[in-house]
Amino acid sequence: MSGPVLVLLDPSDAHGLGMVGETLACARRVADIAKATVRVAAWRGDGFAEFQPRATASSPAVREAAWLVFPHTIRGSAWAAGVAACLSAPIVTAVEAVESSGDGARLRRKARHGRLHQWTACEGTPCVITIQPGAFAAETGNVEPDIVIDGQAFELEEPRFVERVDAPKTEAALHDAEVVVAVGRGIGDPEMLVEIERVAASFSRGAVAGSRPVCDAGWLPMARQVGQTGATVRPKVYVALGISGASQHVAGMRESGFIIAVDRDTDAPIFRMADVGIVEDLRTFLPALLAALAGE
Amino acid sequence: MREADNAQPNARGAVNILVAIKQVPKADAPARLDADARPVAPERAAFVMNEYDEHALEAALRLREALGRGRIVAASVGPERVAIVLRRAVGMGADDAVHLCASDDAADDPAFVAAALAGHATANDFDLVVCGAMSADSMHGVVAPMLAAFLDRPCLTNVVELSVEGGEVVVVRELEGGARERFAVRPPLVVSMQTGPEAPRYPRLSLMLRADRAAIPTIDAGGSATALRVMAWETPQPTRRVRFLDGDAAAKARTLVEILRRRGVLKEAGR
Repeated sequence: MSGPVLVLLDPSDAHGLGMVGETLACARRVADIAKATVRVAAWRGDGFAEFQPRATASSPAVREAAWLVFPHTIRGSAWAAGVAACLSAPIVTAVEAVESSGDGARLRRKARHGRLHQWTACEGTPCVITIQPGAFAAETGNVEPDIVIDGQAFELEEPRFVERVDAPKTEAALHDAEVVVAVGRGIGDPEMLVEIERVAASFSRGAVAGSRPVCDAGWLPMARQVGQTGATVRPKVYVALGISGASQHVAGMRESGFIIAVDRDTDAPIFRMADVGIVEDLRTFLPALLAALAGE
Repeated sequence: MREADNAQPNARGAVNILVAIKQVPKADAPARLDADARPVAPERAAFVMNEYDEHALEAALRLREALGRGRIVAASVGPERVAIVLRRAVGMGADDAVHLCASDDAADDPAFVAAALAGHATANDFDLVVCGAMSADSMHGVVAPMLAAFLDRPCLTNVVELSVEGGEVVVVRELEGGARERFAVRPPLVVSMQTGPEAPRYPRLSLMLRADRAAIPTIDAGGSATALRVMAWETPQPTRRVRFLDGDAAAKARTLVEILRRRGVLKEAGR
């Protein structure tokens, strides 16, 4: 019987808390394979857990665990990483699947820009893993942590929290739209946005959105960003134009009803999660699409 | 790393910044498995500087410009081929570069990379270590917080604004949904940079000439074997049904319009 599989939650990480069902589901898979129990620990402290990895690493419950399981959120992965370093433990991030393998568990994550899957085994104890959002079906029901990791004893003054800064407001049209027409770097030229606006205008309730690189480049305002650090949308139809399908973008649209992807790269990861795939150069396809929409 | 109590970047001449850079395959480089189901290594020409690390270096260069002083050292962990991204870093404006020599596999293990960088940072005086938020190919995003934990110094990840004010490094970091928080930390510290509107600069020809002539010290990255064992590689299976449309662009466009019409989302005449 190995040490417990310990799930770690930070109540100040809203996105991590939102993933607790999925994180638990993965922890149970690991526990079944490792023949271990699952325990749940919650951070308690004035400071953020991610800035005090030693506080977590020195907790008795953490030291006796064989597996430490965190959500792969921005805060959660930073916390996991610090704890792994303090414990000199191996860490596998953004885990999407767990399987039994010989004498232990093997963990699947993406590699090579999301184009390959890589299976890894940990050969040390404890093993630290972070769970990719959306990869595991969430367990339902309330979760009561049975362990508290007390950061109070380790209160640090640094980094000094200064203030929250207002998040850029997402364009309301993105959430109201029935069809989101999203633009990625693959369009190549911001001048194509004129045609893309015309495509969006063909829908009774359409809106244009952009991936982060497109918004960084100023082709679209940040208020139109869809992705991990932008909006999460669930329209009836999502049309991805020139979007490769990196996890950070997919995080914002994977629950869309019907996904149509257009890109000139057959191997783009977006095609593995689309309902309809069109392998075409957008410079050729957009004019053809506008013509077809006009009934020509 | 210099002791926290002595770090006063505005009170003394030098501000020493270490920028960690990873060389990665281009985003659209084919990712094929060979007959043994192992990834085929991309050709040399298909490797580039990790985009997030370009932003990290750009942030360091802008910080140095704002302060009017500073020494920027670019470091990369990896095999012989990474020297080219170190030269590019010098071409962009880094003062020096150092190559921490390690195998391909080690360079892809964030714990190994963090330990190698920590070893180098400890042996030298750095006020600030700037990493990219993640590597575009492996997307771990954990080198910076691991490095900081090894150095027992704070780390802020996903930073979108970086400045120095009154002896403190002030950062704005971004979380899911675009929520942002401002923090202040006395150096030394580690930050990881997100992408942002400030496009990383191109190397200057004059600096590239200097970069090509520069002797880049090559140091064994050291470190122990990683406790992770890669067991298998696979081509991912689709998670939706993926119907690829046939025909030329015009035919695909017509089929697509029909699909959209049947879904009832098109603006029809009179609606």
